[in-house]
Amino acid sequence: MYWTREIAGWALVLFSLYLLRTGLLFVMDLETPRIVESAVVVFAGLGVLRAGIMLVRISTAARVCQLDRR
Amino acid sequence: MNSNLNEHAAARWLGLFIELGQLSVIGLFLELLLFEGTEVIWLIRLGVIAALLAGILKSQGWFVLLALQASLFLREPRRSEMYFGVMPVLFCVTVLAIIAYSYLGRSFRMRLSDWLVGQLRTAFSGIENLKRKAEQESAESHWMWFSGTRLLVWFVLVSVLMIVLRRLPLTVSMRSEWLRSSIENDLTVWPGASLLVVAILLIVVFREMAWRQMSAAQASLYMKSTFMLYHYRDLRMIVLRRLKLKRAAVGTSVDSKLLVERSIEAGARK
Repeated sequence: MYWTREIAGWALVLFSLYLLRTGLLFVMDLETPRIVESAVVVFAGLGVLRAGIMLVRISTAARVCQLDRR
Repeated sequence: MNSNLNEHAAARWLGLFIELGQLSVIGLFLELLLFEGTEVIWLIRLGVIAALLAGILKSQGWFVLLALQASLFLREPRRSEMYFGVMPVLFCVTVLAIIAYSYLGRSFRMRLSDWLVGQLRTAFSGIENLKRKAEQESAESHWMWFSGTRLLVWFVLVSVLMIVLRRLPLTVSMRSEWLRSSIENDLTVWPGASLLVVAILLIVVFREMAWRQMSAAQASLYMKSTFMLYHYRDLRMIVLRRLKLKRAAVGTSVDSKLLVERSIEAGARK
């Protein structure tokens, strides 16, 4: 169960990085820079990154606790 | 005792010397990044670089960032066309490395100096120690392998240094060549998004690797604090309801007690 959470966390981290890259590319488009869209996507990406890191950390801590009890 | 003290003092001086060397390298890079191809007189250059190095010594990375931003703002040519080459990547990597270095602070500088001192010590004294050990243990093959590896490492280091020194614009002709290639390449930050994403990924991976070194007690504490953080409102509601019920129960028992006492008093009067 913990491994599932960890994999889900890493998947969320990767997805958030994709979102961040997309947001940055919006700004770097020199012909039509989309600042507002970029801000929205980057904000969402940061939220997803935080959630992913939290999932990974919780699953790791829970695994350590379980191993200690055994 | 005296020899130990001397060794300690020598290590301290060597560490200081290496720290100065680090700052000199950073100063050289800053000079290249900020003043390459400009007509600024050397006194101002030295003053600005000294101020920036003082900022780095005080771990004020924003100082360097501001200077680089100002330099880019004043010097960046018109973006006629993007150039997808090695130079922009090198520029971005150098800038990021300098900013990271300035933010890592004094502890990192000292750790790096200690590591370099250790390497130098083993490089100069390790061969004698190993020789002695090899004579004692009669294990010639180990020493050969170790010194061979060390020689190989030194060879690679010297080769890399030679390549870097050949690339660095130390002479006038090399400086003009560097300037020409910089203008041709148009120092724009096209790989910024990819670099940033890779940097974030690396930071996350390294922090998670460090996170996995925690003890069971730390893990338990983290689980409890996270549980409290995310269930704080629910727990608060439950505890408040229980307190209210308890107070209400205490209140009714006090009321019933008073009623009994009053009825006893009334009976006594009759």
